[in-house]
Parts: sequence; C-alpha cells; structure tokens
Amino acid sequence: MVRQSSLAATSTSSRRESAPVMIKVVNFPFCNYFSLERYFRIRKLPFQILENSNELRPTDTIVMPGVGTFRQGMEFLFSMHLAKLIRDHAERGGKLVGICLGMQMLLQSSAESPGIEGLGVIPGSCEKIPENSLFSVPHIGWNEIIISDNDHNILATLCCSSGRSKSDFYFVHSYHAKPLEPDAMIATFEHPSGSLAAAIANKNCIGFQFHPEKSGSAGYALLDKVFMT
Amino acid sequence: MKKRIIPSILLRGGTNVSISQQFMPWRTVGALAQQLRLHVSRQCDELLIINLDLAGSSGYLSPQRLLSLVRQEVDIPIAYAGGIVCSDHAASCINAGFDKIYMTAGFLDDHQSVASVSSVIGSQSVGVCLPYRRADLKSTPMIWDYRLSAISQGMNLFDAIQSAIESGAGEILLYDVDRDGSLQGLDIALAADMDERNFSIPVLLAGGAGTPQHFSEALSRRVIQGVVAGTIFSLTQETPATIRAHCEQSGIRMRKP
Repeated sequence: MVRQSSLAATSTSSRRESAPVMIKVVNFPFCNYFSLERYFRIRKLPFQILENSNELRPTDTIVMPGVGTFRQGMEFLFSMHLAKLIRDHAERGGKLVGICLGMQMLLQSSAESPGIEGLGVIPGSCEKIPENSLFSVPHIGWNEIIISDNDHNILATLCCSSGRSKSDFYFVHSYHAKPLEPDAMIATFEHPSGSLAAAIANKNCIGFQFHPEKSGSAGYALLDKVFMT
Repeated sequence: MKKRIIPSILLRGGTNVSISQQFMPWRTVGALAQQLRLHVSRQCDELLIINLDLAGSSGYLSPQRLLSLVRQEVDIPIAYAGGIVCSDHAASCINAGFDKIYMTAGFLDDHQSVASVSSVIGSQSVGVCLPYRRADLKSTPMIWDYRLSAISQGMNLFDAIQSAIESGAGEILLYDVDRDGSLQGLDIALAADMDERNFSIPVLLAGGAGTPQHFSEALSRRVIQGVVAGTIFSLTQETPATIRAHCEQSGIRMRKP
C-alpha cells in the first residue's frame, strides 16, 4: 500500500505558488522515504508522493529512493502503473533521480533478480559486487568517491583537484551498476577489481549508489546541487 | 572501505537512554533526543538503537515518539534492534526511517527468519547481533541467550556466524557480554580469529571499548569493519572525532566527515 501523503501535502500546499518545480517521490512500500522527507522539509522544497493519478509536468523532478531487492522495487512500479509514467517523463526530458536501489532500477536489468525488467532509461545492468578478501560484501559504510572526467559535473564542487571527494558518502549495497556507455559513469568507488559505479547519469537521469540523504552535510550539499540548481 | 565508529543507544522505558553492564541495564544517562543530537553533532559514522523494551519479545511495535525523533534529528545512517522477527517488522522499521535492522531472538529461534527478512529488504539492510560468552579466555565463545540469561546450548559463535551468513545476513555484530560496559577493552583475540576465518561480510565488534587504543586495536584487523560502543561516550571525554583521529594516526582508514 502507498503511504498516505498527508505530510507531503501539508508541506507542499503553502509553497506551490512560489515554486514551479515540484519534486515527486516514489514511495516504495519499504524505502528510505523519511530520510529524504527530512531533507526536503529542512530545505523547504516542495514535494509530493508520486501517484499514477498525479498531474506530472515536464518541469517536475521524480525521485526514486529505495531499499530492498530489484524485483520488489520493479514489481511495485509495475503494479502501481508507475513504470510507464516514469519512463515517459524521462523520455520527455523530465528530470529523474535514483538513489541506491532507485538508481539500479534506472538500468535495464539486475543479476539480483534475473528476468525482471528495469526502467531502462540508462542502458546497462547491475551485477553483484565481486567478492574479494580485501573488500567485504555487502559494501556497507563510508567511502570516498572519485569523479569521472566528463561533462557531468554536478559532483565536481564536492571534490578536490585529484577528483577524490572531500568528504565520504554512505554506501549500503551488494550490487553495482554497469552502464553500457562508459561516459554514463560519473563517479566511482575503489574496489580491488577496479573502479565500480558510485553515480551514473544519462541526459536528464541521474543515479547515486550511495545515500546522500544519509551522508551528513556533504550529502545535503550534493542534494542541493541536484534539487536546487 | 572506511572503518566505522558506531555509538549504541540503549532505550528503556520509552525514550530513556541507559548504559549496561554484562547485558543488564545499569544506569540511565539521558534522553533519546539529547543523545541523538549529541552523536550526530559529534559526527559519528552510524548509530545503533537497541530497544530493550522489545528485545526478546516477538512483537515489534512501532514506537511513534522514537520514530519522530529519528526523523527529526538524524541525517546519518541509523540501525534498529529490538523485537524484529519477521519481514513485516523489518519493512515497517525501514519505512519508518531506519537504514538497517538487527535480529537476535528471531535468528536464535529460527535461522530462516533472517532469510525471509533478507528477501524483502535486501541482505545489506539485515544484520544479526550475536551475544556471546566464554567459559574462560581460551574456550570457544558460545552464543548467550539473553532471554534465558544462559548459554544457548550447543551453539558456538563460529557456527552461528556461518549460519547467519548462509541465512542472508549482510552484517554481523559480535557482542561480548562479559566485557559489556566494562571499558576494559574489546575481545581482540576474537578479532584476530575472525581475520583468519575470513568471513566474507562486514563484522562489527561490541563490548568493552574504553579508550581510543581499544578501537584501533580492533579496527586494525581486516575483517572488523566497525566498533559499537555506548559506555565510553557517556562516561569519558572521548568522542567519535577523538577516536577517529587516533585511529587515523594508527594508519587506519577512517571516514572523512
């Protein structure tokens, strides 16, 4: 069941007139909704829970948080008739943001749930993080990110000249994104087998494997970049 | 991967925060709101709330005051333990704003309950907390069932860890009951043993941390990804920042806040 959106509605109503951009949050049955809600509340950003019946404007930003499995997440999107809505929004140029599982669902598939179709707004798939004696899986805890040298610079101000982030971000995941286009990988984290995706982007879609909403002030600064610029 | 310093908050009687000795509530040290603000402002890496009112019960009740405070005060990862025995409880907890849950009684009674929870919220969000005791320093650590205040017959710690991993746990918290609240040092022998056994998932250690050196001794072990501690943050001047600085000087990779 979708959680009632009374909090969101209260927050939203008084600010709708002054804010042309509305943030629409996909409220999965198990997700980190309240962590995001705290950020929106503190920053006084207008937000609502995304429902199939919502009017969705091209200027709106859809956010997909997520905790759980790829199968559970996608089955929810299909059962609530949100998958097509989200794909259409992205194809029309609307902004789409995914966090953790929400990021993985931007891709076409995941080894976590074989046979389950992802949104596919970013070509690629998810694979299990390679097991290694020097790297525990799940990848749980704080890690620095390394910004890829391409045109997607939303993360640039958070990094030193070396490309490494000034602050660490919080990760909690067992699968990692493998976008088909190398340029889609806009930030990575280090793994003994090589660099793995920490953030991916394609046109108007962006996804973070880590949790900016749980990464203290550095995470909030990143969310400011995403939602306030 | 950066090593973690994780303050634990033991709740008793609603939102009163206690510290414990040998797994028995010992002294009330404050209120939840104050403790959350304190730990967040001191830039700890993660928080663990252990709800003693529900520990050992089979019914997770959504404590509204607690949840309201967590949503209001916390912008860092926070985990919950207390009364979670099934996927409905776990999902409810994650929905309420927690990032991870820990199971103990649920796991001890039915290892498959971890698999069930893991299949819904993902193994990365499911930890198993294993309290243990040793008859003496050289003996095999055995699982201690806090509901019975007794060693759980026939279950040694290493078998329990393996079983928890096979059941889908994403993280293991090893809690030394005898050292709990003592400030006398963590179970370094166990930390060394864990390195040799080479378990694949993150392992946290709790019980006995009383100085920054205790943290660095444990965190220098490859498998130990974090130390959970409560009493040191209530009864000494140490903070996550001072402990982090000490660990960095010892060559351990710690979080950049």
